[in-house]
Amino acid sequence: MAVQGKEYVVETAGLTELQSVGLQYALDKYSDLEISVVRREQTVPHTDRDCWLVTPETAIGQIGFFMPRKEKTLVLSRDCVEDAFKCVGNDSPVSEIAGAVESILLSNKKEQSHSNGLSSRETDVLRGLAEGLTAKEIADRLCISVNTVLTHRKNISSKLGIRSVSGLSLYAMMNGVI
Amino acid sequence: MYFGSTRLADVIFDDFTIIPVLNRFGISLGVGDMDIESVCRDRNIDTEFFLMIVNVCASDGYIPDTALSSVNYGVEEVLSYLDNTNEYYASVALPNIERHFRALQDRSVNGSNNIEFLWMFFQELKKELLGRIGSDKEIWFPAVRRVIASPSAESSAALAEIVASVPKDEKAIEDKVDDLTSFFVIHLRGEYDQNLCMAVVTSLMSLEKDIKRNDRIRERLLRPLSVRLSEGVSK
Repeated sequence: MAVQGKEYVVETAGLTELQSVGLQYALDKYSDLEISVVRREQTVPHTDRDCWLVTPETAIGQIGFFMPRKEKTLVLSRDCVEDAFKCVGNDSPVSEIAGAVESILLSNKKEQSHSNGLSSRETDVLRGLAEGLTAKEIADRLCISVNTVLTHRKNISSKLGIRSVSGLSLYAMMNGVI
Repeated sequence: MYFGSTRLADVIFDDFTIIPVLNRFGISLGVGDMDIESVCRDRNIDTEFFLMIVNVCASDGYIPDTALSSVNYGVEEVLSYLDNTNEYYASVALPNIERHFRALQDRSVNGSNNIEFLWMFFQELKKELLGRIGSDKEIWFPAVRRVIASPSAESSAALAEIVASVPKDEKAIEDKVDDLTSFFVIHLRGEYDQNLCMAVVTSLMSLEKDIKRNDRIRERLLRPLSVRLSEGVSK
């Protein structure tokens, strides 16, 4: 289930549909962050996520993908996995899982700023713009609303001092974003 | 806000970037102690029109009511002024920036900076600005002059169509000049000749300011005058 128009996207593989709905409800109710939950039967490595909530099997099975992203990964297990990932019990109440997810998002939020001042999500939007995608196409790719894309676009322009699409594309090229 | 009694030298002291605007009226530096009215009288310049241009240039919020109240007032003067402005961009401002830019490339250490990227962007900006100048010269301005010279339903309709096809409050060129300035000020990397870089940035900032003024004159004077002309004849 994905809720459009939110700032952060959490992908989960391992929660039941009921748990997933409960998690979204808990995040909506208790968190100040705008978070949407995307539930999958199996995680498909996808870089445009702010947090992954996965089973130990998934984390171990795709260790090459999750290890470099361990700061964004939460494993559904009472026991630590590889002594690297943050964990939360898979039988924990959804409010506890929601708290753990929010904690990961908040701790990463501080580190997400790149040297250019763009957050990772803004960098994703910039990449889309530089690739010539429309706001709608970027929104679809990132599972966010068109309005959120436009807000990111405005913030990018304000941070970089660049307004035109060709200027933003050039910036992306100069800085290895594309 | 300036008046006929304002000393012209004070207008320049307030903002020296008004100098190219004065040049378009044939006024060079060495203006003496005369007020605007006297300078205009001596040079056979319409004082009211001159004040309108200077005030549009000096103040973002200034909207000349003359353009909205009368159809034919100053149309040829506006066109002539904008022709001179376009000529200044094509023959002076852009070549000046290009010359400094080329020298900056030549004098900077190759491969250690991102000046080549900025050069590419400048070329794109130049092409776009020259494209607009060409379109003014070949399409918009002649259409206005045709309506004045031989008013007819056809010439008015053609002008109305042309004015409608020019995007209102188009900021694409303004944005690009702004962006290029930002690239230099915020995002320039590596080693480069600082004096030449300063020359490029200064000339870019002057162009940026002039284009913003020019766009205000196009939007607040030429567009309403063109619309009035096309409506006046077809009614």
